Amino acid sequence: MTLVTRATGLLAAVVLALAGCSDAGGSSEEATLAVDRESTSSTGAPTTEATTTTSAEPPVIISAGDSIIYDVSPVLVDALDPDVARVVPLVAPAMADASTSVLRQRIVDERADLTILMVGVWERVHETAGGHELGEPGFREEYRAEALDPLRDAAAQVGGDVLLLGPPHLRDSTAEAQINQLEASWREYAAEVSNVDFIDADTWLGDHAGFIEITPTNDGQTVRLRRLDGIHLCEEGVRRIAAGLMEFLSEMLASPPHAGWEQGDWTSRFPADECPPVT
Amino acid sequence: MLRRIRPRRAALVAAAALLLVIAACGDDDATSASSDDGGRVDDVAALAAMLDGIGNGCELEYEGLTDDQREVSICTLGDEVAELAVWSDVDALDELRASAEGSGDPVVTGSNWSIDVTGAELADQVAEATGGRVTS
Repeated sequence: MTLVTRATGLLAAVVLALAGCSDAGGSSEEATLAVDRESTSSTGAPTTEATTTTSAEPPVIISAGDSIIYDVSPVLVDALDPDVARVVPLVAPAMADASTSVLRQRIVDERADLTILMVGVWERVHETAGGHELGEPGFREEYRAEALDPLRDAAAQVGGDVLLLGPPHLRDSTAEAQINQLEASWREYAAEVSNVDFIDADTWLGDHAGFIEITPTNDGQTVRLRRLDGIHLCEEGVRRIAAGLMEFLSEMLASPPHAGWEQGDWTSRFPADECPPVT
Repeated sequence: MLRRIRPRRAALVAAAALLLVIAACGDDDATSASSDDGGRVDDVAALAAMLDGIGNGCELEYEGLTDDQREVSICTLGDEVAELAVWSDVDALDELRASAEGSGDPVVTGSNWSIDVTGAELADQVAEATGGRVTS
């Protein structure tokens, strides 16, 4: 369904809802912002005619996930012109039921055009309702049914898409192996369904086979990508992932990010004790 | 590759109008279904402190992460991962409660908070420790 037809459907729903209201004259003043009462019938009952603004509403992008993308989402908010896209940051540490429920509801409420989701650190310990854990027989099917399908369906309900974003490598090799399994399942899922895509954020962080905390730059310097905890990102790590996302979004939105976004206010959010300077 | 996103024309305006109209048609006496069970808490740290008596307690993995609906953190509780949330948007908490109803998967809630666990036994322990209500 296109956005235009969605808007038309909503307008029709407004008119129908008004027609079915037994006390239309008592409805709130705010409703008149979108609905003009232009005439009255011979019986005195108000008739209605819906009008809308002619300005374009920007697409809505939900940027959701755990504490890793929590540092990336503010960059998207800063870098994308609000007239081009409205970015809604959401916390969803895992596709546990509470977070999934909240996210699905928000996708529908916002009529999100795109939902970006990065989970992993906690997702890897997900236990299905059938009692299966990652790697066990039955997990794959149950995980799809209770985590991925509902997310995809919520997006499809409003004509939106989902971008599953694989998290960056972790220092802990056991956790890393588990996340690799999850990423394989997300990749496979995205290949099978129409409104879901998958990108591994590691492709933007650098062409490394595994976890890397500090990396050389093109000018012969070194730069810290990751926090000392071996999980979270420092400024340059966030910048690289945001740049990759920005390239992806610029193509979808047909609009580039703000010039200078790489040095925005978001750069002040990284504590020095967790992202110490490279010596 | 996903499709290109185009601007939406007035869809949000129409949606808002629909919600307002429906609200205007509704029962004037309708009130929020928020429960007072378990009282209110200020933040996820306070919520975690209420769980001290369960297993080794609930040591938050990180300070609360905040969005426009809630503050969220996570801890290991017993042998499960628990998601703790303190809600600024209590209507959204009501929606969470409603979605958990009949799901078979428990969530423990208070006036402005929720604790999501997997097992029914642990949910009962959490409810006892917090005074919250189990919905499943």
